Amino acid sequence: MTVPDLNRTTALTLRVGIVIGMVLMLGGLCWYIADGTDTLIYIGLLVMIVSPFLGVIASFAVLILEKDWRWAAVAAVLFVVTAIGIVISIE
Amino acid sequence: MELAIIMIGLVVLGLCSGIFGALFGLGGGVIFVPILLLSGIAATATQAVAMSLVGIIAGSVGASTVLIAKGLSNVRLGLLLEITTCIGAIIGAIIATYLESWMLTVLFSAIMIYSGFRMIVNPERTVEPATGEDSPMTFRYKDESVGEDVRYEVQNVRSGMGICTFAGAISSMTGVGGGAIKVPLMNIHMHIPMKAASSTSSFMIGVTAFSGAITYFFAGVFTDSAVSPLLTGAGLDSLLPCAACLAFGAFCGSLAGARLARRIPSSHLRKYFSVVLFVMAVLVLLQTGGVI
Repeated sequence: MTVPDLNRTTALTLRVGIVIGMVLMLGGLCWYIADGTDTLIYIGLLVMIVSPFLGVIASFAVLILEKDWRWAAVAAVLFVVTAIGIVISIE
Repeated sequence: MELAIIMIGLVVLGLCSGIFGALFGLGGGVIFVPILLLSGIAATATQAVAMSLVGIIAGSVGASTVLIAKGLSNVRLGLLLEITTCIGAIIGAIIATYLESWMLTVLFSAIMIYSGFRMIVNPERTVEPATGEDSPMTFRYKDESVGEDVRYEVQNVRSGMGICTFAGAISSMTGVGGGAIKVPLMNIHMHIPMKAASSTSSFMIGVTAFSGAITYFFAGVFTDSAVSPLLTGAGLDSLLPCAACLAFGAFCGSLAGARLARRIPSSHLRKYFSVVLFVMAVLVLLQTGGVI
């Protein structure tokens, strides 16, 4: 099995996340202007906000596949630290 | 009519900051927050910061899709420095309550002015790996403005990570300056070429903004019906449509900015960046002084 390229995979994940988020938000904006429903904008905004984190997850996955343990550990630590940060700020 | 003006205004604001942010690796919080407050779109500072984070994410992710694919952003290094930045942000949020905010902003401005001078006075110094062999801290990227591969070895990794903790703390306390501290740090202290530094920062600020934005999102800031009189007058009952317009503008702007960033020579980028730092320092000081 060929290991996917780190840069290409991370960039692709970010692109998928932001494009889906943008399409949902723009579609949602039209829907909002038509009859005042903002559900689709809400979902699109969430997808877009989460997309940088999806990029981190994608790079983590590639680094594991590359068996690049040192850098995979770095991504894993970032994962944990971000989670702790979110939990603390929500409280 | 009023609604259309607000929405177009937000798209334009997003466009400008998106281009600017992608070019220099900055988020644009220092521009977003005062404009959103002064224009009356945001009723509170919390709303302005939450909206600003949305714009920062859209710009960062948009730019990263180009800059990472072209290998300009250093994903590995970004992940590493993001760890201590994030820890710093947590520490900053905790100690912010014990410090006067003007002290922080003065400190922040001083750092920016110092970094700006260093970037003008000192020529860029990147370290060519001495031997042909790559160390774990050797990276390369292709500079499209000269059509050559650039190989560099990151220096002072430990102290750089330490300073990122400080940068994270400062930016979570003042709400600005993630990129403004990290780009000079990477360039001056860690000897990372300017282009790689600003592109890596573009990727990192999205991750930093994510943790802030997701908290505001679930706290209901975007769906809260207590919007500013301006928005109520335009018939809006939440920030969602505004956030969508700002994000759209920032996304489009960042794609254009990233295109520009690939072509511009590194030395020009560095020179313009120092000017941006001075302007930011002045803006932040004026805000602290209550002038704007």
